Amino acid sequence: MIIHQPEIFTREGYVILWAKTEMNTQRSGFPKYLWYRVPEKYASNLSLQSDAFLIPGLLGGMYYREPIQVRGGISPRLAYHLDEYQYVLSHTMSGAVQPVGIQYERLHPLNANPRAVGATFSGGVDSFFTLLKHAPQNQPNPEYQFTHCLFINGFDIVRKDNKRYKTIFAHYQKTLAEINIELVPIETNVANTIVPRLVYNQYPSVILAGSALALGGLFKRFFVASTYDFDMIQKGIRCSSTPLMDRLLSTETLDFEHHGANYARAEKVAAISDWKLAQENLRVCGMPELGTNMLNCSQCEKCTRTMIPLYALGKNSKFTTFQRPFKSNKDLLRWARKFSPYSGFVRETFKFIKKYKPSLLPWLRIAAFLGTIRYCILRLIPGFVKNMLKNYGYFNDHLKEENAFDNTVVLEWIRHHEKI
Amino acid sequence: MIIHQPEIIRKNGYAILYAKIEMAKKRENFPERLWYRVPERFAPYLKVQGDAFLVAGLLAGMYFKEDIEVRGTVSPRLAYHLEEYQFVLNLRTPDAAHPVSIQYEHLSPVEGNPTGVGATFSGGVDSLFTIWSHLPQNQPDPNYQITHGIFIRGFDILHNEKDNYQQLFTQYAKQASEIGVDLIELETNVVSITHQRLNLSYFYGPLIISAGLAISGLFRRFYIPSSWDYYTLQHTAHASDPLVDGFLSTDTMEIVNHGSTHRRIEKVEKIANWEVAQKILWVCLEAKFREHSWNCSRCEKCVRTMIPLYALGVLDKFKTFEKPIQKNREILWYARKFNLRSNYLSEMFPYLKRKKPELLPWLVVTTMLGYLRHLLITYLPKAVKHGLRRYGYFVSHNDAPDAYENPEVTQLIQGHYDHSST
Repeated sequence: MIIHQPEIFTREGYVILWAKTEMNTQRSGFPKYLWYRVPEKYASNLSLQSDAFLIPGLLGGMYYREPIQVRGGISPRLAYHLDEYQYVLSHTMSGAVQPVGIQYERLHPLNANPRAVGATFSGGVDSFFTLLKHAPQNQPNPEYQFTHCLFINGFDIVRKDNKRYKTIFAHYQKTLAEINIELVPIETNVANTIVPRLVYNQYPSVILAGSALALGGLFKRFFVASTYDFDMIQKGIRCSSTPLMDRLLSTETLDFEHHGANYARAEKVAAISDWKLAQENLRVCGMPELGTNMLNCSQCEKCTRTMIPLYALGKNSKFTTFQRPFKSNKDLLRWARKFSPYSGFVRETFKFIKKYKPSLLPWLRIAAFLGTIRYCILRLIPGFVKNMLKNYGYFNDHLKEENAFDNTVVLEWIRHHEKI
Repeated sequence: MIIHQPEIIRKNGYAILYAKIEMAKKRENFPERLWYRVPERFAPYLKVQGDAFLVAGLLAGMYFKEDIEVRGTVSPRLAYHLEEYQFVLNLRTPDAAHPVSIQYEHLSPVEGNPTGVGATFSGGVDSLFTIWSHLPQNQPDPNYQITHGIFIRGFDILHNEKDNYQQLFTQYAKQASEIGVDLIELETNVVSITHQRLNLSYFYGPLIISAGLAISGLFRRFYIPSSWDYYTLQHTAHASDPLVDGFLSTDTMEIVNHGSTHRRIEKVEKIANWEVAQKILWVCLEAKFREHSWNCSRCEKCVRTMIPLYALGVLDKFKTFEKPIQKNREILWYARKFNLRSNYLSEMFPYLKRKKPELLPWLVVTTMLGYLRHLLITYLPKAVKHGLRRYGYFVSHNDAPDAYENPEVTQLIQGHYDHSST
């Protein structure tokens, strides 16, 4: 696999950083072009290094067992750690990906002196918690205070929800400006190196680290908000984003920090529960095609899992972004509707409720019991029935839809630019 | 617990960096001062920064559950990560390490721009593998090539084993200089913090890192050769691995735990044809030094290292083993000190199957005999073990409460302290 020298062009108020990938063998669905798009005012912050393309490209190489040749410049520090990164990734994802050789044409650090400190900001529990800890008013060390955040189009919001992305972005941009943090919109198709081949939510660092490296001229330190805590990581949860692996992606000019793994998710919810900014803006829902102004459906597993600790703390009513918040104990039974015994968060939810509102425990047990039964039934439904039900909107994976993460307009621009 | 402002003394050709440690409660055999001594030519690289003392002292604070106040300057990057560091240590060893709060008087990075790249240089398999991996022929990037090695006295070799240390140091320094590495003689009492409290095999990481941090003016990057590979770390991670060691990086020094991607036997294979390793490899647990053959060839670690070398047919080139294996059946020696918990059997069998399958039957017999021996020893009544001590069994050379102190240096520091107080 060859990752070609990245290029930049400007069009219609945007600047696009892109690189061509060339596989040894034709691979259906693997993106021929990887790209990042930001508003023109960030043009000087884009990095022409290949770092941002090597991370997602490497995943493709590791999946297809194709050695990689990188034609652009690569950070020596990143190159040094990639052997270990690949080793740990393949060890964690046993069987799914394998280490491959990487041939570098040029090793040199980015010639820039970036100043910003930031993270991705999705509006979820993890990113609000990381923001809380690094907001200028809470983090005493100026080297660790956030100045910028990235809101990624092509991460948890798919292409067809573009309108929704824009609405949420405008809202969050205003919100973060209140605490002197600049929200930067970035759009990318690098998620296409994950889906449909690999399990999407197991490889978030490809998108997060890739986006930060693309803006290598901006960030000197970039935080990746943890999804899983150390207890889960130690037990072998399959995820490419861990405190160790994210750190291995650092370059000479950009330090990656994985933040928050020393807190369980329910503890993070508790930590942000009194923060007005979170109360008015929390967005945990992953459901597609929600109304433009609606942030949380209140029905999916993630919504209910977040509402439980909030309800236990008596803060549910203060969080205005849930369409249908819990109002009585028995509402906890809604957890059963989308419950997964393997989500990894069941144990901590019970532990949290036991500590803060033990009277909820019987309801929680019933919800878990009913949820497990539902889960088992779903597992037993034959494949052809599931296929049939897809016509009625069930069992559809919106992440695997065609062009879920690509923007045909940008692709056209790139093709045109390549011809020129 | 108060970690006082560090100070530097220059005397008798050496420079000593030390700091007073004041515990809230009196602790038996706990060092009043932590110190690091290096030859005077390295004095310019010693900085009166509290990082080294905090990293080592934190273990004591966590063990005794005493909050810490640091009077010296601490790296902001180190301070930022210590909460997470403590969390992980506590998660892994909840009975031994408890998170404590740390109060910093002053946060600031070390002044200057260090350029050296260092690693510990004990002469063992892990450390030689790390050095070998960063030789110019194996590591093309000069920013990652090792320029300095540290050979610590007061760690594997005690302070009172001066002759043994000197014997090794002379050989090591000669070999190191041939590969362009400047070997630093470093003596310290940091192990007194954990001695008879915490298992050194599990808690050595921060102590070694503190030695690197002591010479903070020299190193921009410091490698900790890993003792455990990623397979083993899944079950037995404690206080040193690529994750937690990295938390101890400062603004000017990156701490890199190196080698967890290789199993020990793979490391042995990598260095098997390296002349430097053949001349100086030292893995022995028994510390019975003979001139030029400082591996007893009897202890578990010696035999475990000799087996792959024998399988590769290069053992005769390793001159530091007193009695190398010469025939297949001599693998049975392994049974004499065999330890079921050593975790290395899982890599030994597949390796021998690949490299020298005719050794497998001997290894099977060894494992059976060794297992029986291990059971017998485990269930031996304490009274019997105690009785056998007078015949030299079940005795460790570092049993004394002050095994990791050097009275000469302690007195020197006390004299300096008294003098500066008056």
